[in-house]
Order: sequence, then C-alpha cells, then structure tokens
Amino acid sequence: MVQSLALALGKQVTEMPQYLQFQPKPYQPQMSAYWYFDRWPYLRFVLREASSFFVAYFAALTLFQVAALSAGPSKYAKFEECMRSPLMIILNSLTLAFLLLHAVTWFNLVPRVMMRQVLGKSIPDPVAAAPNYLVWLGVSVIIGLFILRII
Amino acid sequence: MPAHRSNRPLGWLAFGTGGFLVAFLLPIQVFIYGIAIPLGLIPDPGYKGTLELLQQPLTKLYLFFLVSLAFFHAGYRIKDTLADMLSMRQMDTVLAFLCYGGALAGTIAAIVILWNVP
Repeated sequence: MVQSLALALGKQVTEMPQYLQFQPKPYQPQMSAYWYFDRWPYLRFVLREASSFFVAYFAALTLFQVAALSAGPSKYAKFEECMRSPLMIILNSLTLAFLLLHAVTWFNLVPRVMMRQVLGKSIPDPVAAAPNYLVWLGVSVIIGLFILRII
Repeated sequence: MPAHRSNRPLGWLAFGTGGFLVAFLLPIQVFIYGIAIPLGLIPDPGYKGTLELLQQPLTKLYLFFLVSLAFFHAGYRIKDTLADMLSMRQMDTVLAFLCYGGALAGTIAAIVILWNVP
C-alpha cells in the first residue's frame, strides 16, 4: 500500500523511520478486582448472577430432602429439625431474596425481548411483564396447594 | 455454513429453560420448605403426607426436570460469574468443564435419588 501510494504520488519509497522513544506496547486494561462496587448497575448485575449459587444450593437441598424422605421417618425428622435451626432459616431467607431477584429480573427481561420479536415494536415494560406475574402467582398457588396436600 | 458450529446455543438452551423454571417454580418452594414450615407459619403435611406426594410419578418427573435444569442454569451463570469476578476468562474451558460437570453430576444424583424413592 505504501508502495502504491508512493507511485501515485510519483515519489520514492522512503524507509520507515525507526522510533526508539515510543515503542508500541500491548494495551492491557487494568481492572479493579472489586469493579462491581464501582456502580450500582454493576453491583445489581453481579447480585443477579450470584443468585445462581443459591439456585444450586436449593436444588441440592431438595435432593437431600428427597433422600431423607426415602430413608424413613426418623431421618426426615432429623432433616426437619435441621431446617428449624436459625442458621438454616437465615440461609433460606437469603436464598428466597436472591431467587426473587432472579425471578423479577427474568420476568422483566424475557417479555421485553419477546414482544419486540412478535410485535416488531416495544410496549411499556410493566404491561409486557404483567402476564408473567399473573402466571407466577397462579403457579405458586397451585404448587403451594400441592405441597400442603390440599389438592 | 461455517465448518465449526459453536456449542454455545446448547448451553444457553439449558440455561434459559432452567432460568424460566427456577423463576416460576422455585420461590414458593423455598418459602414453604425453607421458611414457612420450619417457623410453623403453616401446617406441616409431615413425613407421611410429603412422601405420598413424592411417590406420585408426576412429582418425580417434575423434580427431575426442575433440579436438573436448575443445576445447568446455575452452572452456566456460575461459570461466567467466576470468570468475571476473579478475572479468569482465560480459564473459561476449565471453568466450563467444572461447572457443567457439576451440573451433570447433580443430574445423575437426582436420577439415583428419585429412583430410590420407596
């Protein structure tokens, strides 16, 4: 390219100057290890992602519960006693908080994407997300009734 | 048509389905089993009632899909969270192996545990 440019200008190709003072350096951005404390949206993002630890914890806990049920009444009584300990109550409250964060962010995101795909235009977020919350309420009531052996 | 097709959509499908199920189904279960029953806020159906519910084939199927996809959903997010928070992007393959391996182990555990329900 340099050559053709030189031809076009009708000039000789000169040697590239050798810079000694300003050597090119690879760009290495420095990011703080605590970057997620910099701004609230960053922190909210990391908190939302952190909900996955609690999802995995509760899925594992559910398997423990099933195993305790299979092992007989005394094992299940032990499991329930463990669940009554203050530490577990705190851990499970924290789990619920993170799961609600996951649910709300999920419900608000998915319709926003889908509406744009289906309708070709966006509609107000609360309107788009409303069906999710209605389904959530209905499904939660049904699961609750099943767990409590009412239906 | 590219010669190499990414396997990323497969992971995302499990992540997306899992996230969907977890959002709709899990909060009420955490509330009832994790908080309301231990605190005595609602009557406990007890060992017999809960086992009867668990013995339904539909309950087992429900728990299998919920638990397995929850593990894969969590594995996907934990992988990316660890990579972002600990600046371990260059270890992406190792993390993916560990996280999806963990999810697979959880799925196998779920099959074994649900199979052994009396």
